[in-house]
Amino acid sequence: MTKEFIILVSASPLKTQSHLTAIRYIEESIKQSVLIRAVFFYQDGVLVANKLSAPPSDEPQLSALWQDLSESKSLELQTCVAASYRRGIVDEHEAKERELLSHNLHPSFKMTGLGQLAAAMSSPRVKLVHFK
Amino acid sequence: MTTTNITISRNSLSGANFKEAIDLGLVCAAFDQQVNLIFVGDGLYNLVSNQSIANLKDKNHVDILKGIEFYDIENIFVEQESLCSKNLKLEKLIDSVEVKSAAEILELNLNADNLVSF
Repeated sequence: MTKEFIILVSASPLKTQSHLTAIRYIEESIKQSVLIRAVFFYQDGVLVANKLSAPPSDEPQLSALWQDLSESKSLELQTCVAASYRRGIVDEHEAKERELLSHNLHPSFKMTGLGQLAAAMSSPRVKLVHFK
Repeated sequence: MTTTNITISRNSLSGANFKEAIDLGLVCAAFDQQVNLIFVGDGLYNLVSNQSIANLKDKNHVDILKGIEFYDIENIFVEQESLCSKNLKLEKLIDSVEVKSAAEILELNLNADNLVSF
């Protein structure tokens, strides 16, 4: 039977190495024929979806690394909408709605609700792997 | 039925941590999961009932738990060993919490489908 993982990333991209670990973990899982059901960003993890982040060029470009992974493995990167808005990650729709100066959601990420995560967690065969 | 254990080990001063933990619990409960909220270590301070935040312009986190049983979260557990180490008395905490030993909590976690910690 195929194994399935849900990846939950709640760690800050700046305070931990968890994003790099999660990316390696996903790559290796796929190599070993594990199905990645969902990649969900919560709490400070959502900060990686800020397309205005501009780290120095000799440091890890985490948003770009996630983008590469998402494109090469056809994975959807989901960010929690409430956690994102709380931390200043907004999509075009919300920016208009609240008359904010601009929007900054990285195009490789998709705003979703916690319900998406909970629905995936309800599935009996999947294992939740939490990076924090 | 899927069981999800949410362990909270940080205190209410750690920003949105508590709120985001409870939010996940509420949504999981709405998806018919059995949700256990487990408080350990500094997490216990979230449950102290007579907290006053009148001058802090903060939101009173304890209020989030009021009436949580109506949203199908009935199990709020506190770890016995944490109660002792923080010198907290059960009567100082909000009602409807149940004390479990570390061994019992381990058992709960071994039997759960999903573990998320905050």
